[in-house]
Order: sequence, then C-alpha cells, then structure tokens
Amino acid sequence: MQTEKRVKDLVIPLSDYPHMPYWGTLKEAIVQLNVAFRSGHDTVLVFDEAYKLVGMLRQRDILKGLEPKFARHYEEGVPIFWDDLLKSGSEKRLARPIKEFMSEATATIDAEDSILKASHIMLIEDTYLLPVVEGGKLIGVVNMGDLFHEITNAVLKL
Amino acid sequence: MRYPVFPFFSKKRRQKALKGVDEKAVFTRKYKAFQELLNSNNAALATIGDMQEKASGTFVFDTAYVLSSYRCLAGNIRQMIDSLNLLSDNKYKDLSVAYERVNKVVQEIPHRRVAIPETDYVLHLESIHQDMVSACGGKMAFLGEVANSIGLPVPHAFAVSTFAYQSFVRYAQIESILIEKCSKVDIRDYAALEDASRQMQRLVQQAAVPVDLQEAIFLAFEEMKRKTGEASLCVSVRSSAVHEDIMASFAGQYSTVLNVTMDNLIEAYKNVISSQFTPRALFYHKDKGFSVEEMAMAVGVVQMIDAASSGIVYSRDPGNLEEDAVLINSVWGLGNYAVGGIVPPETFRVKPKATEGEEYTISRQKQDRQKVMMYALASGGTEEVAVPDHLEETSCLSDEQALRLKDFVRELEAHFGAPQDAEWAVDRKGSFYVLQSRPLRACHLWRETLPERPRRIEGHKVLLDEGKIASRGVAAGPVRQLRDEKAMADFPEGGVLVIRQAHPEYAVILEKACALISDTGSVLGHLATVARERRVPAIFGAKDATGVLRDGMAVTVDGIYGRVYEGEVARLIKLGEQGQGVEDSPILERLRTMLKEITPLYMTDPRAHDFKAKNCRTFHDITRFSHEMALKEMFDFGANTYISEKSARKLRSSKIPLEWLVIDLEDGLRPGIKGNTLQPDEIVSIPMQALWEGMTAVAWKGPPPMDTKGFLSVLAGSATDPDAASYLVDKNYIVLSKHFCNVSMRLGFHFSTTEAYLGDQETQNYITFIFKGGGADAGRKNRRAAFISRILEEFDFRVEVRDDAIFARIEAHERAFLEQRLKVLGHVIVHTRQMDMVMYNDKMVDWYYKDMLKGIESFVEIGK
Repeated sequence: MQTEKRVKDLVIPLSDYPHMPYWGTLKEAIVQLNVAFRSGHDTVLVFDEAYKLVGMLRQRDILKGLEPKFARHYEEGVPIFWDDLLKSGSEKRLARPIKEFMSEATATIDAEDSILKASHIMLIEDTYLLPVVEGGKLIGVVNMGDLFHEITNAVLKL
Repeated sequence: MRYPVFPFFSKKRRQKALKGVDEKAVFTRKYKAFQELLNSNNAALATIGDMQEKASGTFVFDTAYVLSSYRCLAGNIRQMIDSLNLLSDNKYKDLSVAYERVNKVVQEIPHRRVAIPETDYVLHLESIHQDMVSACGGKMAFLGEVANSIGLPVPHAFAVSTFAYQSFVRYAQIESILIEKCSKVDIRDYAALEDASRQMQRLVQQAAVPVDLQEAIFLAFEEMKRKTGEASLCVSVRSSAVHEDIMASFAGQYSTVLNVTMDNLIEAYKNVISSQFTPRALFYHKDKGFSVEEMAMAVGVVQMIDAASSGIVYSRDPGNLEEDAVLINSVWGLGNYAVGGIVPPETFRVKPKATEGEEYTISRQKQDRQKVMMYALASGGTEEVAVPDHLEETSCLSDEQALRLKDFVRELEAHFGAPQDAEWAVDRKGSFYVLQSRPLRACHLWRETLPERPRRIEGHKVLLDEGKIASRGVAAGPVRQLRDEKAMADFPEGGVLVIRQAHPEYAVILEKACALISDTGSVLGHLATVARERRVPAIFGAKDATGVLRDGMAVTVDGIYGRVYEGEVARLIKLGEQGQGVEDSPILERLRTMLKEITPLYMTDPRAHDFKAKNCRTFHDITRFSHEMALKEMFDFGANTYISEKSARKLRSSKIPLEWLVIDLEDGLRPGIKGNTLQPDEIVSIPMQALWEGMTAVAWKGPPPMDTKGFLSVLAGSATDPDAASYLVDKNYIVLSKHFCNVSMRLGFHFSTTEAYLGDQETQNYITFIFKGGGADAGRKNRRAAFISRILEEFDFRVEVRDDAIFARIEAHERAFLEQRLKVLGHVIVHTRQMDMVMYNDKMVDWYYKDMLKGIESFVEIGK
C-alpha cells in the first residue's frame, strides 16, 4: 500500500476545536460542545495555564461525568430510574472541573510522520484524536475519520 | 489619552531591574506632583464655574472679585503646568507659552477706568439718572433713577459731584499727599495703617473747601428749602462713592451724617469724604488692588424725613430667591437703627395668596419690643428717645402699608432687572419715601442644591425630577440620545442632548443643542463648563434620563429648578428669557471679555492629531490638556518603573494564590506594620480596597499560575508563542497611597494595569485600565477583548479595543460610583484570565457575558 500523505497534510488547526483550561467546569464544556455541534467537532482540547495540552474531553467523558456516581455500580445490581438519572445532584456535578472527567493525552504524533503511523498509535492508545507536534510546538490534531478516508482510498487503489 | 502600545511590563523596567535601580523615591515625588495637579485642576474648574455664574448677570460682584478670581485661576493653571512638567521631565514646556499668551491678552483687556467727568459741583436729583455713576456716585445715581425714571416718591436731594471732590482736594493741595500716603502704607501693619488713616482723615477735615464749592452747596440747600417749604430744613449727608454700587462689598463702609443743618453742612461734607480713609476702607481698597485715583467720592445731600417708622425692604428672600416673597424690616423712628441692627426690628413677609379670598398674606414677626427709637431734633442732630407706650404694642406698618412697600420694591426690581434691597421711610403724615435702592446681595450659589424647590408648574407632566444644575436656563426641544460622540454628525439643530456620561467630546454638539441632560457627571467638569460658556441649560446627575427620555419626545428642560417636563411649558420658557436683558455694567463686561480667553474648549478630542501643548488656546484648554497628559504620564511611569523588593512589602492572601509587591507612597497602608509581609486588611488605600474586594468576592477558580508540573502530564510544547513566555518572570506590583493605586498584574500570559484615584472631588477621580496578552490564537484573543469591552461598557467605562488589547477609562464621578466600578474591574481582571482559550466563537462570547454579569451582580450593587 502506498500513500504520499504525511500527518501534516491532514492536520486540523488547533483553533478549529473548542479549548478549555483544565479548571473549567463541566457546564462550560457542555456549552462549548453545544455551540460547536454544527462544526462536527465533538472534543474539547484541555490546556494548562501555560497553554500546554493536558488532555481531551470527549463526548463519552462528558456523558460519563453527567451520571451520578452510583450509576457506575449499576452492573453490581443497583436499581436505577433512568428518566430521573440527571436530576440527582446534577448542579453540583456541572460545577466540577473538567480535569476530573477528561481523558489524559497520552501520545502525540509528529507532523512529518506517516498517516499509517498515526493510525497505528490511535489503535494502541484506543483514541480517535491525536495531537500533532511540529518542532516541539503543538500545531493541531488529526482525527481517525480523516485517516480512515485516506487509508481506505489508498487500499481501493491497490 | 494615547495608550502605550505594548508591553506594559516593559523592557525599560526589566533593564532597570537588572541594574538594580530603585525608583521608589522618584515615584513618590512624581506622585506628589500628580496629586497637586489634580487639586489645581479641580480648583481651576471651580473658579471658572464661579466666574461663569457671575457673568450670567444674576449675581452681584465687584472688581475685586474679578481680579482675585483671575489671580487664583492663573495660579492654579501655572501650578498645573509646573506639576505636569515635573511629572513628565519637562515634556510640555509649550504649555507655558500658551499660558503667557492667554495671560497677556487678559492683562491687556481695557479696564474701563472711572474717569471723573467735568460737571457742575452740584447736581440736582431731577437731572440725575442711573448712567451718571461716575459723576454722582452709585447711591445718588440709583436714587435719581428711582425718582425720574420710575417715578416713586423720594425725598428732595442733590448730589455734590465727584468733580467737586476733585476740585476740593486739588484746591486744598492735599490730593498728591493723599495719593502718596495711600500708595505707601503697608496694610499688613495695622499700627501704621491706623496712623496713616488718622493723618489722612485729619488732612481732609482741616482742609479748606473752595469758596465757590461752598457757595454752590449753600445755593442748592436754599433751593431745597424753598421747594420743601421748611424754614428749618435738615438734611442727611451720605456717601455716594463711584464704586459703591459695582462693589457690593464696599457697601456700608462709608459714613452718613444724619439731621444736618445748614451751619454744619460743610463739616458734614468733609466728614463723609474723610470716611473713605478709615483703616477699614483703606485696607479694603488696597487689598483689592484699586488705584487711588478711583477713590473719588460724590456726596448726597438728602432732605430728612420726619420718620414715624422706617426700614429696609427686600424684593426677594436672599435665602430663597425662587420664592415669591417680599421681606420688610421695620423700626419706629429713623431707619439707621434698622440697618445697624441696634433695636429689634419687626419683620414682615408678604406672599401671594395661599388662601381663597385674599391676594396676599402678610405674616408679622417681632422678636422683642422696641424700647428706644432714633429721633431727629429740630435743631439738628439726633436723639435716642423711648418708644411711646401706645406704639410699643402696635405694629409699625398696617397691612395696607406693607402691601404698598411690596408694590414699590417689585417696581424697583422690574426696572433694575434684578432683586433689590431698598431703604424706605414713612413720615408722620403717612407718606412713603424710597431712600435708596441697590441690587440685593444674594448669597445663593448655583453649586449648592436648592434649599426649597418651588412648586411645580401645574398641568404639565414632570418626566425627571432629579439632578444638579450644571448650567442655568430654560429650553425646549426634541430629545436626542447619543450613545457616544461618534454618532453626533446628524444631531438635529435645537435638539435636547441626552447622554449617560458627560464626556468633554460632546462639547462640539452644544453648538446645535438647545439643552443638555446627563445621567451622571460633575457640574465642575469640562462639559458643564462649556455648557455655561455657550449658555446651554444643562442638568447633570439626572439618574435615569437615558431610560426615561426617548428620541423625538418634546420636552422642556428647566435648568433653574432642575426638572424636565413633557411638552412645551410656555411659562417656564418665559421665565428663562427674563434676566437676559440685564444691562451690562463695565465690570460685567470686563468679566465676560476675560472669560472669552478662559472658558472656550478647543482641545476636545485627545485622539486628534492637534491635541498638543502648543495648540492650547484658553485656560480651559490648558486644564484639559494637562489633566489628560498627567494621566498618561503617570500611567506610563507606573508601567516602566522598577522598585526593588527592598522598598516593597509582600502581600499574600489565602483567597488568591498570587504574590504582590506592595509599595506605599503615602498613607496607603495601616500605620505601624512590622516586617516585610502584609495582609489584605492592612491596606487602607481607598481605591485598592474596592479593587481587592472585587478581586476576591467570587472564589478563585483554577491553579496558582505555573504550578502544574508533576500534576498533569504535559505532552507537547506550549501551543502559544514562545515569546510570551518570557514575560512570565515579571512580578505583580501594587503602588498605592490613600487615594491612589496602580496595580500591574500578570496571570498566565495576561497582563493588566489598573490605575485609580479616588479623592473627595469628582473632577479628580478616575480609573484607567489596560488589558492585553493571552496564549490563544488571534481570533480567540480578539473575541475575549470584545467580551471584556462589553462587560466594562455595561458598567459605564469608555472602552477602546485595538485587536486584542483593551483600554478602558472612566472619570469625574463621585467616589462611591467609582468604587463600585473598581469592584467590577477587580472581578474582571481575575476571572477573565485565560478566557481567550474558551472564546471558541461568538456564541461563547454571549454565554460568558451573561455568566459573568451574574457573577458581578452577586456582589456589586449598581442601580441601572
């Protein structure tokens, strides 16, 4: 299989994604993703004070954060009234900082790397979004969808 | 104000830090100069306001007032220029040129010197009119006017002219001696003054009156005798000085000799003349800088009225000019007891009807019984006698007589066009005489709030009932609200300008506007000054004018009582037109000419290219320019100053995980603090306390800056410009004094400088704020700037946004008003840090805007 494309060709600029500092609240994160819904970006990039990436808040992280703690024990036989799930203590949970819910960023990819390498890292790290670094500086992200499109196009040309 | 571009944590400061230069002493010195400038600015504006009010013609003042006001103003202007140059290391030397230019023009304003006209020695009352002050003195000129133009009854009288005085002193060869003694005497040495006074009075009393003058006086006396048919005619001899009318403060300085016979006439004449050399009169004259040549005194010779009772009548209550009441003050016998307050007078207040069926109500009041009265002896001289028992119990004036006096004095007021203060007497036959009339000296000042406001004009809806009069007058027109001065191009001619804040930039519109109403603003501010200059009625502090008055509404602005009515109120408009036809006295003319060099404001827009020292044309321009530049210089200096930690104390608080270096310039900290650390409650600086309250009112969210190592794993290098990181070494500074603070602060990549002065005078107060920086992309940073600007504008700041930098300012408000704004600012500084990060799109701006307003409203009370 042959593809000339490098990660830098598929990179999405940072500014296209919602950003938040890690002490921002779950409520603010929801607002961010709500207003970003039409753009198709479904992840909040989480930074620290020095604008360094510390994590990502995905849809699943948010949904998980919305659930009360006891719901996590559902499998152990705790009965749940599904329709009332969000009512219980949600105000409090909405005010919690997102660092408690986010997925830590565990890997990056260099802008010059091949897209297959990026795909490989995603599979290993079980993520669909990878931070892209160029010369030590974070320049954006690549997502699994774009990689998938490139790679499958190449496969069909084989 | 032109703002510094960037950075405010400047290279200069860092270089100084490296060299270890400690600039605390310089800062303290500059701050002192700055404070002096603020004080002089306020004093200058207050003086200008007062002069403008006098120039409206409603109030009595004298040459001395004009001279001393100008001296005081010029002193303040010079002080401002000096302070600004001290503050800026002599950057604005051109201001002195501007000052000299104005000063020269003012000094050269021709000062209509009172020349003594060549007239007869004696001028009969029948031939005397108001415009003959220089010939027969103020008192007699007014009396002649009362008799000949108004036609009210006055006693027979004649004046011995100023020309007669001049002939007398020349003939007796004492003129040059008097002039020399007067110019040499040191009025601060009381013994010397008394001595000189005694010598001068003796000179006059011993001098011989020229024979032809004596003859003229006797001739006139004989003629008066014939006219009155009194064989043993007695007269009163009264001073009638040239400047007595225009210099109200001179009133009562000179003597009057009562009940003089022909034998004593010349003696009495000399006595009255010599009274202008009493120590008190001399002091006054010299102190106010008058020339001796102006000491020309005419003398009135007035038939004695055999007074049953006499007294004073005011056409208005000086304590409440707006009320329609006449005050009468009356005693039995001769009136000098009433004037001198020797016996308890009976007082009358005559007011238009309060009840049905009568036109006026008269209320009498007598503190105590009048036991003695002054009585004129037939042989000349006066005697104090007991008030007869039957009189002691009765009132001096019947209702009918009181009403007559009311009619008299209102006629005088109508003729002279100003409230009057008249002396009257009624003889034993019941005939009334006016003895004197002069403008009422009102102690009522425009700056004071009206003590008791008159009833509203009925039948018209009052739209606004609050506010201070910034410029007196009445006008009607359609409302036009302006949000900022940029929208002023299509302001309708004759519109009523309605604004939230009284910014000087609106001055240009006052050429078109018929009236001005502002929700807030100082009556000593620039815009108020311009309104008075242009005679545009203005009400400031109307609270909610911008909420109540809608574009296009027809309103009448009552800048006399401080109200706004719906529609046109004809009665008020007429009232506003009155008093504009007041004839200009020489002194009024002089003041107005002077004000033309002082009050116009040409330097309206600080952003304009010609906003330069050399372009200042008036004193008002100089104050405006200097104030503006002083703020800029102070701010720049604050940003570039390095003060070593040795001169500072460290402030830490559990509420905010930051550390500040605090430098106290003067009384900003509680006295007696030991050691080099500080608690927030040890700060007593007024603006800093307010700012701190805002910074800490809502709990801090997030980390101490740059304390994330080992806490979260950082994957990549910073997403931001590496240059920004170099500022992270800068420290947070607070420079403060009792009324001032300059706070520079860094939170992450965000830099802000806040400076504020909160003193006792509105015109001194201001808040300046700059905010810049951020680690996000340009789009986000710009959105964050727009967001902060919206918040600050909501709280009345004027905001300028240039890309991602914010410059905000608010000024000339009372302390409490600005304290609330400082709290808002404190909250904004702390809680908008890193907010650029979250400004994903405009919808996020909206969301955070609402969210932040909620946070601010939780601790700041600002009535909207």
